[in-house]
Amino acid sequence: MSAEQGIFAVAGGICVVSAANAVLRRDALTSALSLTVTLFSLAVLYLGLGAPYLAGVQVAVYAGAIMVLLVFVIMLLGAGRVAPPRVGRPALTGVAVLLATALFAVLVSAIARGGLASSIRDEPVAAPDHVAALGALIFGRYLVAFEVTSVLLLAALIAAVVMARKRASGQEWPA
Amino acid sequence: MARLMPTQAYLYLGALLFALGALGVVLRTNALAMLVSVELMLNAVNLTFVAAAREFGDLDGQVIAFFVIAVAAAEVVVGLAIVIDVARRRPSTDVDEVSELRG
Repeated sequence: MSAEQGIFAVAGGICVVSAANAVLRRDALTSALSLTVTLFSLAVLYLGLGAPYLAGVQVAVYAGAIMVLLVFVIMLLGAGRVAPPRVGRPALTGVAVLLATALFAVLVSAIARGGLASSIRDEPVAAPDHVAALGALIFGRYLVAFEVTSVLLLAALIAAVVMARKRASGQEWPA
Repeated sequence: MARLMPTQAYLYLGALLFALGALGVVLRTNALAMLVSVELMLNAVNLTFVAAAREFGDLDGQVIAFFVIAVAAAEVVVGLAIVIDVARRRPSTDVDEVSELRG
């Protein structure tokens, strides 16, 4: 068993279990922390796939910044308000499980007919100058997309400040 | 030379995570839990992109995954701002309580 197979078995297993925990647990804080475990195990999978830069971004931006924001809001609103004591809707639960199973079946059949090699192959791993090549690609062919992303982030920042700030009672949206 | 996992294994894992995330979006009524599920779906797609990047031997898939992470950050920021605004007016963050367009 190679290093990557071991990584896939361990990180993939943790990934699936924590993802199921994140989706199915009632407590929003448990969901968020389980998702953080999923994000970390995905970063380990990226390492196994020869994408160390993306693994770093995943830990710093996703498991770091985004999840801190999510946990912060859950704490801010209070666990009681976030997870109201309400009875589930059994009929809708059945429909949801059916839909998700059907989606998974469609995806699996598409992958199985996709024509990708299903056997374990021998191949050299990623080139050592991979981060430099990634940077050249981002600031070369994808430069416009990169700049548009920065504008999008700025717009999201302004939108969050406008929407989440405290308004005086009765005050409507700014004209 | 290293023995590599087949790309299909990663695609199946990504499909499973995507279906789990979709289940969460449909099943949960808590806005924050739905956000968590959407993040799970985005990450499933990212895993597929990175696996495809290795399969085809170029870095474009990794660049796309990088952009997906940036857009996900913007999505979470706006989504959480909406959740906070709703939570100020309603007793909980249950999406079923927010069924009309006017505040």
